[in-house]
Amino acid sequence: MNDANMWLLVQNAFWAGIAALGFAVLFNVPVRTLFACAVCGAIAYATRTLLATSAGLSMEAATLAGATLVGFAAVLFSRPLHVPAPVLVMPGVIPLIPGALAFRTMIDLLNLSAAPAADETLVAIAAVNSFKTALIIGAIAAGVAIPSLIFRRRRPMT
Amino acid sequence: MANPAAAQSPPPEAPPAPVQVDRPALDREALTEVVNLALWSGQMLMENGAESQRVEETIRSLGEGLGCDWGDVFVSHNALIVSHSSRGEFRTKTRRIALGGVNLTLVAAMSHLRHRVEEGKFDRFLVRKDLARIAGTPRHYNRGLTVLMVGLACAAFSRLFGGDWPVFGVTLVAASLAMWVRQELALRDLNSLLQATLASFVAGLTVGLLRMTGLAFQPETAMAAAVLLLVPGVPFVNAVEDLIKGYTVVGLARFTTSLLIILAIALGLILAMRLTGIKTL
Repeated sequence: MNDANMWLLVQNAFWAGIAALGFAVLFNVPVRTLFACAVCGAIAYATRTLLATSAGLSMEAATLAGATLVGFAAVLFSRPLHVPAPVLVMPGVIPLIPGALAFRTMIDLLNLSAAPAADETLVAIAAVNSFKTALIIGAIAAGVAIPSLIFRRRRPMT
Repeated sequence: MANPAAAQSPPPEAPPAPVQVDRPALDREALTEVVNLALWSGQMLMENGAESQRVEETIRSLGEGLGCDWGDVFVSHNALIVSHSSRGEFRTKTRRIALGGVNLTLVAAMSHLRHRVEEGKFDRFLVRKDLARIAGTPRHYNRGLTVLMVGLACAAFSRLFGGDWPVFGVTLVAASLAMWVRQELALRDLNSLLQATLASFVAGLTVGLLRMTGLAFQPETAMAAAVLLLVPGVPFVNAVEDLIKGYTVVGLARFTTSLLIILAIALGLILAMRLTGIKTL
């Protein structure tokens, strides 16, 4: 990885952190956890970008890795901050959600009915994008769930 | 599949037997109050973005911590049924759950409350007081700050999508406006799908109109980023988590609701795109 790519990665991690911060405010997290939420968002996005571009992983697999890492990071941060892990995880994975892809897919699907008959490429694009969106969302949630499945505890995290 | 009930509940035919005989029996009023408190906590969790397992475990441990011998919970996406018993005497109650938003401070506060009850520090009177305090706690961030931060978050997304600074500014304006519109609609208890459609329409229209003024920027990136605040991210994640942990029906219901909201957002966006002549996203 050269310096220009590294700089872009740092910039993107910063913006992902801002995005997570904004959604943390929307989700009304405790004020003391705001910074940790932003860090979780930055970690999630940077991990995914790094694995997808440098390691050549697919977007789906990279998302799973990013979400899992955030899940573990949230468990780590949640103890000193005295909050349950979802408080940090939910804003943290927001930058991973494929919102733009989901809308593009929906709009493609809605445009299908207006397209000339038997336009197979349009159908194929819509189908592939739907499947991609579903897989990425599934990967986020599965990644988030993994730490809570491993660290199942009798007592709540306080 | 995680099923904490399996170890604790008695065989289906037998009446609920006292599991812990060392604790005193609860009288009828006390048992009723425990069921009410457990339901209240579960309802607040469900309405503020908690996943089903957290809801079930909280209700169960509140019942046990407040002196019941045995309890069971049925979690549905729009209702809760709770039974708690003490010495063969039992109470069962149902409560509807409204479609809620996300309030993670409330989820955290409920976690603390549950911890106090498990440690035996809270009796049912203190629990009622604490639940009332939690329900009455105002949000940390006022409406204006929320609008600004959410607008900034969407603008940050536009940077991640490769937008330049003009796109950043347009997204900030459009997303903030959409957030404000949604707050207004939510205050008026409008249907949540209509809220999503109208807010995304406002966001799309703002981007389109700013484009018409001759400002040079890529309207597609700004449009895609400005409606991200409406995406039901927490319900989506909770849906899949519920599916993984065995709450299949709740998970499917949450997934369907989230998909409908995405569709509603897309409809508002398409309407705005047609009106302002923006072709693709």
